[in-house]
Amino acid sequence: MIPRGIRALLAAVALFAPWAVPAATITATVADDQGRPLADAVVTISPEPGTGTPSPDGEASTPISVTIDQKSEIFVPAVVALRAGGSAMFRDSDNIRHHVYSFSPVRRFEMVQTPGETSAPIVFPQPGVVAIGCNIHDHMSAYIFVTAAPWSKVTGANGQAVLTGLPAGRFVATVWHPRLRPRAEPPVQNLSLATENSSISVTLPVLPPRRPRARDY
Amino acid sequence: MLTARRIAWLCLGLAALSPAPAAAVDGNIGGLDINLSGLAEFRFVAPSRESGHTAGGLGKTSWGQERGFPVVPDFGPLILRGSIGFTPDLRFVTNLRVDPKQKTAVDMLDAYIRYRPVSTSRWRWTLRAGAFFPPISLENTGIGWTPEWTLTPSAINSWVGQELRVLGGEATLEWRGERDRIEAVVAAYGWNEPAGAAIDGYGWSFSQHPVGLFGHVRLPNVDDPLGPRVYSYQFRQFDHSVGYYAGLAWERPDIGRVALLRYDNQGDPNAHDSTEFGWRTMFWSLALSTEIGPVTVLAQGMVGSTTISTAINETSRTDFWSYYVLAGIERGPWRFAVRFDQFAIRENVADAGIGGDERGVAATAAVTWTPRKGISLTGEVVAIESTRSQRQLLGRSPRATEIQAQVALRLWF
Repeated sequence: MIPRGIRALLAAVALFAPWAVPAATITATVADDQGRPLADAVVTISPEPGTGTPSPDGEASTPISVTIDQKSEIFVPAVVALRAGGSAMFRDSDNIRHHVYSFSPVRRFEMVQTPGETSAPIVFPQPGVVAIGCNIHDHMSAYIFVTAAPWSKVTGANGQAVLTGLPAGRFVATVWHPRLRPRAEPPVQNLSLATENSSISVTLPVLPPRRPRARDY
Repeated sequence: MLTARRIAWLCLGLAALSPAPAAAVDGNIGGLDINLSGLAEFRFVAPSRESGHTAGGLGKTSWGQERGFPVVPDFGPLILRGSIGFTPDLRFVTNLRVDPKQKTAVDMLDAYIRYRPVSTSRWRWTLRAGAFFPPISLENTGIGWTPEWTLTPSAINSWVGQELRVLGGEATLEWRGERDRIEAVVAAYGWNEPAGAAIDGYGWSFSQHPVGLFGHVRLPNVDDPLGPRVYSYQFRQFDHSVGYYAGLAWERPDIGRVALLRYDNQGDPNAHDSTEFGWRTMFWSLALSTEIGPVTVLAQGMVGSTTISTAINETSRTDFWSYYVLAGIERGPWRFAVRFDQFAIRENVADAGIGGDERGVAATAAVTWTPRKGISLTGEVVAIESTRSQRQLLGRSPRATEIQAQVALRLWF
């Protein structure tokens, strides 16, 4: 069954006429199943295979390099989108050490960071979700969403992500969130785009934020 | 003379006068990661009409009629939490507690070393050694083992705070799957032979006063109400036996967490030192936590027994059980929680005198307002109805209804 949000998305894009503009913008609005704006959702858009929609070079909005900071024992930002083959650096802006690690099959690594240190770039060649933690401070968590999609954005506190620089054509849109319910499939849908500005809305079934457990550090 | 109690009041006074809330202190000094943080509590309490167990009574609440006022101000505890990271894998953690209501006004709640090497596989292991709380409570996740949803912990976790502390070592093995997480924990410890004296002495209670490592639990003066105060000196080792606990926990984000733990201090009921007797205390604990829509649900049950030798070849066994269910919800800066407890004790004693049989229920409601990080105001009411045969020794009805209300300001720094 197509999720309600994607049905709305389809209805929205169906309204668009087939004439094209060189660079369109999509504003994606993501809400949880209670209708509240959902921050840290990753919206990706990629050309639908076999439709001739060009995969742009140089205009892709998915970052090929990101920096994740650590401030007051929080990863900032907590969720990033990264182009497959891109790299991430970690910075420690706290006055204490952190021990960044990942045991995700997509990319396993670990490194100790001293105060003020910025790591060397870590390359993420394969698409997938990489969960990041700090082995000292268990409450710290971050996610790198590694994707082959040329366009992707993470929603802000208002649940919105603005994707720019899209040509006319047919696309595949996906939305992912770290708290997506385990049995829920991330919405994936084909869409046509041929207008300058458009907007879509997606509703995601998510788990409540994880409650902290007793600190033992 | 500057006694520990005066130091305690001085610390609390300074905490009250300091600009609050200040920030926790983090720093790397000489290659060591230092973290200092804390909590100070100030409250007004409308005590129950019974004499509280901390004053040697058989009341179930922390504050009772002993002060003779309908509303009393109170300060404490003040918790000072420190941790030192020697290496990324090795840390020392301690929580110092200042609480003038306790016999050891300045004390440590815990002090331990944690060793946890990083793992990039699905398996991770952790070692702890020193003195720490066993991993039983779902409620007490705050600094200094304070409960997150209420001011007063459940009967189960009040007892854990009063009598249980691990002085030994613990090993935890985690398996971290895509969705599921499994933990196995095992520990060996000593210095816990007197555990059982309090639950036998005054039964279940609702206490905000976990005992420090050098602390004593006040026992009721039922045999001689006008006599000297009676204490049980916790965390003593005199039978040289090694206690253990072992537990398994399973967690899945969309379902929750289930944890089962078996505890047995393997105490020798025939052993004793100059002041304390050995108690053989064992129990099972089953804990569940889950989210139902916006509501957090915590539930825990405990069933066990404690045995003491009353004469040669003669023992007295006290069976105890309790459970609670807590439901909590957060709405912006507001947090609401309700909890229901039920508890019982049955004494299997050889002589036919009045024992410590007990049964009761309790309802707790708490509202917390957190206008900004580091400061909160909580109003809480605890209503307890209990029947304890031991009250007849004081010429009172075995049945008592107690209501304790309080408003507490909490400052985290």
